[in-house]
Amino acid sequence: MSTIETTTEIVREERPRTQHFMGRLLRKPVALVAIGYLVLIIVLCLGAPIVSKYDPLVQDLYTIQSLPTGDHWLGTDALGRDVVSRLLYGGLVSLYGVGLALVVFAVVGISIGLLAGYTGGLVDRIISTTIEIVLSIPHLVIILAVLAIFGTGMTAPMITLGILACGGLARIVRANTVAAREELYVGAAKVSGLGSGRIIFRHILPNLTGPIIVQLSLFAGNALATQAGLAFLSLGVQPPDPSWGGMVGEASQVILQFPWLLVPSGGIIALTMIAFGLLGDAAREASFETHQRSAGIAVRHKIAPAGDGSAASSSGEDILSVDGLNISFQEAKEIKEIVKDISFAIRPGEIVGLVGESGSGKTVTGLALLDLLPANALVTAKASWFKNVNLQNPAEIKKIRGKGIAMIWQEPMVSLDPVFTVGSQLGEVIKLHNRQLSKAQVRQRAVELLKSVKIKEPEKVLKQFPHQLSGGMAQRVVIAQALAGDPELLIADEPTTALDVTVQADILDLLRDIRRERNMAILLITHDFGVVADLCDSVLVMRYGQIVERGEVVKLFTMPQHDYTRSLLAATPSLVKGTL
Amino acid sequence: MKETKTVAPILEVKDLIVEYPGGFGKPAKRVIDGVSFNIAPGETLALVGESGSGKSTIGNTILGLTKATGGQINFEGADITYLNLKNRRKFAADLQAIFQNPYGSLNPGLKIKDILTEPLQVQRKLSSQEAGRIVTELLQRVGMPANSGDRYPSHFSGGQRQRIAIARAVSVKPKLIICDEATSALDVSTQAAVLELLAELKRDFNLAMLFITHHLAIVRNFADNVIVLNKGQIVEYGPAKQVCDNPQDLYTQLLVAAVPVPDPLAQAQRRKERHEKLLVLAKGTA
Amino acid sequence: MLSIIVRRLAISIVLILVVTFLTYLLQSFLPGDAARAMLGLTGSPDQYQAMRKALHLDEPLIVQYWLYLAGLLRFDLGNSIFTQEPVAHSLAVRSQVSASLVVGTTLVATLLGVGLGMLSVLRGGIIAKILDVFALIAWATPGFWLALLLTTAFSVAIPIFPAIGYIDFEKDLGGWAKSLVLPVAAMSVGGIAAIARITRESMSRELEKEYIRTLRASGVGTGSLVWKHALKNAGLTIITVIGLVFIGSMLGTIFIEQVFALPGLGSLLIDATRLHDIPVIQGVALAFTLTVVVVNLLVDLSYTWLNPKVRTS
Repeated sequence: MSTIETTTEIVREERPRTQHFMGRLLRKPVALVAIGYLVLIIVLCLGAPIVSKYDPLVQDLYTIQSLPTGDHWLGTDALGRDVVSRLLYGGLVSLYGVGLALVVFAVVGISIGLLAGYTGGLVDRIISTTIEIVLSIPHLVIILAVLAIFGTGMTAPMITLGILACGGLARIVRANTVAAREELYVGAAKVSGLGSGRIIFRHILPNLTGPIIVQLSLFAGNALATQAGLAFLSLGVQPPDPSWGGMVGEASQVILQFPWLLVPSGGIIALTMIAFGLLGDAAREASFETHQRSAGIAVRHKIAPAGDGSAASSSGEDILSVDGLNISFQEAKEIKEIVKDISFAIRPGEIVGLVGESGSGKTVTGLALLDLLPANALVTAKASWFKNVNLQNPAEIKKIRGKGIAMIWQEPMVSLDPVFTVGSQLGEVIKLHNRQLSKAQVRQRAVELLKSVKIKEPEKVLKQFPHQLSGGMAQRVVIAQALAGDPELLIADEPTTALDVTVQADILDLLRDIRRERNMAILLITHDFGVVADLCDSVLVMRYGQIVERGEVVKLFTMPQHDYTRSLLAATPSLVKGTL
Repeated sequence: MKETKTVAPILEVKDLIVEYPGGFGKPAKRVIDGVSFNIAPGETLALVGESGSGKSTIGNTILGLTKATGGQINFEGADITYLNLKNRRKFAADLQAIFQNPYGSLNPGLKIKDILTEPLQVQRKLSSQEAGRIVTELLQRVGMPANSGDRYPSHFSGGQRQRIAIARAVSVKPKLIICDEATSALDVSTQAAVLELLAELKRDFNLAMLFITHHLAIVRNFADNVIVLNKGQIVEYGPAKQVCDNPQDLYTQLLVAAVPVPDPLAQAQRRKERHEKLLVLAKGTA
Repeated sequence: MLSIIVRRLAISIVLILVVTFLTYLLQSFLPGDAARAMLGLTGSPDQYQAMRKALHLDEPLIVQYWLYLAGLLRFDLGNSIFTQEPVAHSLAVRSQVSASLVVGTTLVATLLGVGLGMLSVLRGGIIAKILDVFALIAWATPGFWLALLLTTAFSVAIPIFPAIGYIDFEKDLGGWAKSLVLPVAAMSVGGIAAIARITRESMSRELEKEYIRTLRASGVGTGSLVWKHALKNAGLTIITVIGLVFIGSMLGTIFIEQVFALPGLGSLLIDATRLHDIPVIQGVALAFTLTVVVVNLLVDLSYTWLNPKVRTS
């Protein structure tokens, strides 16, 4: 049996995290540019006496308010002082303030966050509440109070800023530590008998680098803005000493005569902040697996007719007929074929099992029928009909969603909108399919539907929110919602996989009853041969995007033809016959 | 229960009680209510139950990841019920665990060889050279390619990761492994292969195993004995085949009856029997 | 739900105590004291002692703090050291300007932010990218600098709006509005970007969730999915950020009021800082803290309104 899973099993991981966080970060050009800029600024400011031949304080009243020239690259100010020189010397003051606040922010924030997250319990609650309070303090007011008391100098206000703001970092570190603590690998590390220090520094902190760098970058930006703001108001840094914010202030004095001065002074603050912001964004991207997100809701993928589309409707008595369906996904530069040329048909009232392991393409097949695949999917078929509706036309699919074909999924809890009552969302779907119904009639119909899925107190359930339902109950509500448009085909994707086995048996009974009462066909997508044996009339076995075997259910179980079917059946544990 | 009873059990759980604090003004929630069982060396005991039965809580309590409220847990004769994680460390080599989610149980930031050498160096105080040699052997033993050590967990599929987790667990030569839904996230064929690997290792190392699962069908052939758990209490405890084929307790009967079997004709029969049982039950309560 | 409100109130009381105590504690570091500052150089030692007694400066700090708290309950925040004006009175006079600025900024930021965010959700693609760039630049541009740039453009180069000054709305509604345009514009750019970005992010996240797919499979159209289901779910996050924008713009007034010479709480605070006028700083700190408390409470209330899990617990 171990022939099935060979050791060279195909790796189906979509987003490999090949390196540590820093490696991923430094591979991003944006991050490199931002870091490069920041390093350059720091080096230039530190080397100001070497880089600039002008003294930032020396006035040259012959060349006041000069625009950029060969001598003065960024011009001179109202007193004829060289702007470049003042920017470089002033940068030291600004960067000192930012650096100081950053160190306090990082040291205090990380330690407190780790302490709260790793210790948990009462310590955690006290720290978390304290953080909540400190973060609510209008920190700028306290900083000004500190300035009022301690007079000038950036040291006291920037330390204050670091302390008042570090709660934000502490929170993130705490949340990630708690998550990591609950992560199984930390549980596994504890079980392996590793000490706390080792767990924190080897298993928790390294995986926190990303979120921490994000917070540090954003805070550095905010600290710079605060520092510059204070200097702009001549608090903390006194004229004539240069600083970036102070230079904006000086520029504002001569705004009518010489507005150019605003550009270099504010510009360097904005540029530096942009570098911090870009670094933060890049770090955020590098720390979360960047999965391609389609920013828009508009799902517009093509269902291109691959054949001549000659058949005008599903043939004969079939309610659904699919011929030569291909599904592939556009990923980065390559196209991945997921489903390759499959054909099948479903008769009215028939329950067809679509069985396969993960990666077989069974789920995307179901989604493709109702045009619910993400935008990067490419679907083609020779022909695909639901009765006389052409499933290759998205506009037509829209009309039959819920009405002709309905669909339910594995996780009932997340299949319901958490902020609306059962009655509200069920009512919306009912109203959608029966526009002429009055409010009372909609309600009446909702009660009937809930009764038809064997919910005992429909009136009560209508008023409840999804989180107040059990998993089995929620799946019944989802099924009721699917039935609201009287569909003739229900696509059920692993409808019982997330449920307990006794609840599963009840839901399978319910599906069987619904089929009998409404003569509704069901396409049951599942990995479980037990469920297939219980419910299905016929079976399609899928592997790597192809249907390898199909047939009537008893025949398939008793005389499987394909090796894969045989090995799957052999691997399925059974309560009655000894297989393993 | 073979002849294991004569040997001293490796794990004894007596009247275990676990409560979760209820919060402001609410009573504590009792999730484990007086559970007792023993595991002999080399025995596989399955713990089955539906969600909320408390099966995983028992495993976590034995591992010290959840605190016990009452009762006693003896491991190799020593009381480990209220030991903190630090004092537990001396038992760590003998008591290992494999968890459900193969994606979460391996630190994504470490290479496979680092994941595997760490417990060897910490627990068995091996030199890095010695540990490296053992890791190579282990990877081969669990059926992984020889070059897997230099890769990160994200390179591997669920089944392969579970093999790595198994390698880590057996590397320190434990006497008892707690498997918490160790195969539940896997495809059937992968599950079968992993179960086979576990069975081999069990034989080779005379491992005892607490096999926590919701999947009754696996239990029948994999475990020696089985405990059926309902709402934190043991409702049935006996040899696996006996409990599956001829359950005594009503809850167990309903649980067994609800498991679909991969045989349409037999399943139709079982379904009929289940409906009759439910009907009788409904009449009984009416 | 009640427990959340009770908790918020408890935290608010602690917050007010912490802020008032911090500002109170700081003044003990000040060289010299209020009595000396009020008397100036002319006072005799006797007068000085009498003044100290009148101001309770001879009592221990904790007693002084207690007296200050007791005063708060009578809306007595003490007097300015320099103008001798009651602080409560200054706050009342000055708050109209700041309130106009902050409420105006929050409104503009919310309307434009949510609008832009929804636009980028519905259109995606290039608009989303532009929004990202805009958000970064908006975050990186200091408000006071942007204010100066706007002034240069719209009062110096093209004189449409007044460069400085505030006009009472009771006197001249049009003038009031005109005097607010530039400061509100300068302050709201950051808020617009923040709200637009969070709107897009939280909406995109919601729209990928399974309940949306289920509703879509039931035949529910895009309009209802976006504007009813996703927006209400995303609303929780968006409202939190709106609260933050409100508080952020309140602190922003400290810089902006200086640029436009607006007589609000922010400029009161800056003047007090320069003059070491501690009672006034304490007063402004208290006013700002109370505003934070009210905003947080409103955000909490909207949570309970939007989130049934909170409401029904």
